[in-house]
Amino acid sequence: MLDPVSEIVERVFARAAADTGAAPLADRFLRAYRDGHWTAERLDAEVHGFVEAYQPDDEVTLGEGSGGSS
Amino acid sequence: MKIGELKVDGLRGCPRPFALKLKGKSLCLLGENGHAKTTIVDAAELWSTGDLAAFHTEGCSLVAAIHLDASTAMVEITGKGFSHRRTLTPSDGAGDLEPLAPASATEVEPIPILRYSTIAGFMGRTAGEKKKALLELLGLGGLNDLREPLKTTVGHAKQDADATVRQLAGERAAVELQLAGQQLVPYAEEQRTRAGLSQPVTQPGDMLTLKLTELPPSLPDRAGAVDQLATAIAAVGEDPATDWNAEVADAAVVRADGTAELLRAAQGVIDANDDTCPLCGQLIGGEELLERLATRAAALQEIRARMAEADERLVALDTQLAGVVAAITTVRDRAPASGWPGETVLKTVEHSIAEHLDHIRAARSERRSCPTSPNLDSLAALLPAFREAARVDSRGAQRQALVALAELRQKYLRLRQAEDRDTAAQTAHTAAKRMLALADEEIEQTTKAAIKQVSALAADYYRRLVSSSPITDVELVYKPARAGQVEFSLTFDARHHSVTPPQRIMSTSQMNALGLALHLARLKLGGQPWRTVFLDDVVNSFDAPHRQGLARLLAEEFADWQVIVLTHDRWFKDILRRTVKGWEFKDITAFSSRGGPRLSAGDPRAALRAELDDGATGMEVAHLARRALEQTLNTPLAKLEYDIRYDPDQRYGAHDYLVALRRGLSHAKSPLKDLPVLGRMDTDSYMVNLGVHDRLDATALTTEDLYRLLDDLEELDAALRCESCNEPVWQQHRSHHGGESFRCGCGALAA
Repeated sequence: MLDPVSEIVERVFARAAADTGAAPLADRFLRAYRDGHWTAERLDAEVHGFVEAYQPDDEVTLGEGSGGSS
Repeated sequence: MKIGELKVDGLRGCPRPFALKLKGKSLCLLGENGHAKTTIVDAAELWSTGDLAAFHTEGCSLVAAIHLDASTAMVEITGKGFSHRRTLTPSDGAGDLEPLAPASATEVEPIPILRYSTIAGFMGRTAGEKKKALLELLGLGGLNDLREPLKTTVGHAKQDADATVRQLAGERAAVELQLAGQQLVPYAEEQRTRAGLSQPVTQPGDMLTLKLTELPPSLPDRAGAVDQLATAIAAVGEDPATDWNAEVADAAVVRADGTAELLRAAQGVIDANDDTCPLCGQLIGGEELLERLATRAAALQEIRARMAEADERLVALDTQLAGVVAAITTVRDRAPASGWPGETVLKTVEHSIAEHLDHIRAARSERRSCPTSPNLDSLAALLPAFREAARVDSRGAQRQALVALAELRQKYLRLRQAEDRDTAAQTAHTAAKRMLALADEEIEQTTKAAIKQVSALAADYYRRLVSSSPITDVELVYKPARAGQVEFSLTFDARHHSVTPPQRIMSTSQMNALGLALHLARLKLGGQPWRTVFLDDVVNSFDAPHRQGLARLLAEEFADWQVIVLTHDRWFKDILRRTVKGWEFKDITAFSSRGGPRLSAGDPRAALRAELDDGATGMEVAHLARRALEQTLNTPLAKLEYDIRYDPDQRYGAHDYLVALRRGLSHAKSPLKDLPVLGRMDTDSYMVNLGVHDRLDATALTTEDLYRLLDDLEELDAALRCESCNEPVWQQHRSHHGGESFRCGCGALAA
């Protein structure tokens, strides 16, 4: 049986995984938590890892005035 | 879990082994300031947590808790089902709990400890800090540990996202600067065309696949053309027209003269011997005529030679000017896209030269005069501008286009990367922020549920602690502001509702009472295995009614708990003694820097004598001496019901007791009022006070002083006993016959 805090934490991650906004980082953060490395440094590293691994699926858009791109 | 025995050695105020036998019972331990009460509490904290939280806030290393005279510190606590030792060493800090019995539990939870500073500190926190502290208090501190790193990372993610926005704007501005108002694709396609590349640009992505290494066709050598023109112009020599024209004119005269002469000569030579001309009849000899013909022929030959020379110069000029025309044609053919500067001059000069070439050719063929050559100075003056135009264009439109494409592609690539990075950073920030929001929602729900439970009990405890307060309806309220806040809300004087924060209307004592009520309520609600709680000087700011309220609350609600009260307040101890049941009451009767605290639970006079016999110095046992003095004086005072001066706080000392005892005896007309020992006790009281207050400018309290004090106390005690049965006089019946006197129950007069 989980202690109250762990129960809440698991609930947070379960909701995050199902939440469109939070999902991109949910797995990475959950791994950090389960590794016992729930520190700002580790979470920062996870965010940077996500940014580095990010694969865009659309093209660049230029701002107003430049136009001419898709 | 309750504590059976606590042993401490080498920690803070306990340089030597000190043991507190509790046997699971509650205890009130009275001790003066600096007599190691808090050391005992610290021992419990160190033992159960491996740490001393106050040392962190005070910036000390844990090792600083080792007594200066000790090399290590050790705490042992035993109880039912557990028995552990923890050792603090300079090299390793606080080690693990070391089981002292085979069946001991492997881990222990922190022993509940309520310190005055903890409670006052809690009440002084902001609403946001209170929420965090409350979660800690409720055993949900892990939620703070969940939130804080997340919050920090959200902040960092936001900084990164903001940075990528700025970077993206910069890259976009760089592209737009090059486009100069054009659209990307048309601009790129135009450059691609100028560069002569084969792959068209129909969408921005085509930029990235352009083969900029593709070789362009050869560029026209504009600079070379200009150089050729300059050479052709320089090659045009002096205009030969003047000489030519002169020779032409001379030749005509000569030819006319010669012709006339020849005609005459011819007429004259009809007869070679004629002395006259057969045509004009003039006398003329044949010989003379020959000479004149010879002269004219020679002149004509000379003219012809010069004509030939002039003709050659005309031919050269013709060639040179034709070269200029050819150079002009080449230059015009290799004009830059923007054209040559002064191109109309170029055309005009070219046209003039072409006309002049016709004149030259006609003059030569017809031996007629030739006009002067066109002036090429205006053309020569343009050469520097031509050279500059050729130099500027030497990068070439094509090359320029290639450069522009390369630059644009690089910028476009950076822009795409910046946008990708920005998208990723924004996504990460949004995700982290959302996770924090989810965590906050869960924490809020948990906090609300927790405070709802503890709030009602805390309000009840507060009401019982401060029975006559105008403050009612105390409750803890959760506010969602910022990261969540918790604050007390209350009603004041039944008129002002939902008053918050409590500082608006509460005194320090009331605030501390509220904080204590909350902490006790939290303990009462359970959630941890201990039924032991340390209360360290929690009544510091309490007045007598508040102390009474606390004693009553402990008696009513914590009777099954092991409450360990550490206080320097003897009146609180007295209140507890009257209110609670089954407690132990002990005093730290002596303290020395080398020996640490010493306990006594019995007669202070006996304890004092034992300490002195054991080698304690007068200063070390001054507090014990004061208690012995006060108890010896106060006991008959209370038993005989003599009046003492009124003090609402009942803070009396030996001098007060002595004065009251004398006055009571005098009022009773007892001969005891003149006892010499009562006079000496004035001195005893003074000396003991010096020792207690440890004044550097006063004579030190000696062991001889204290042995004399003990003799005096025993003499007074003996004087107040029946000589026959040795019972205290207050055990006797009072007789109202013949004035105030003591009559022993055994029948003999005590005094």
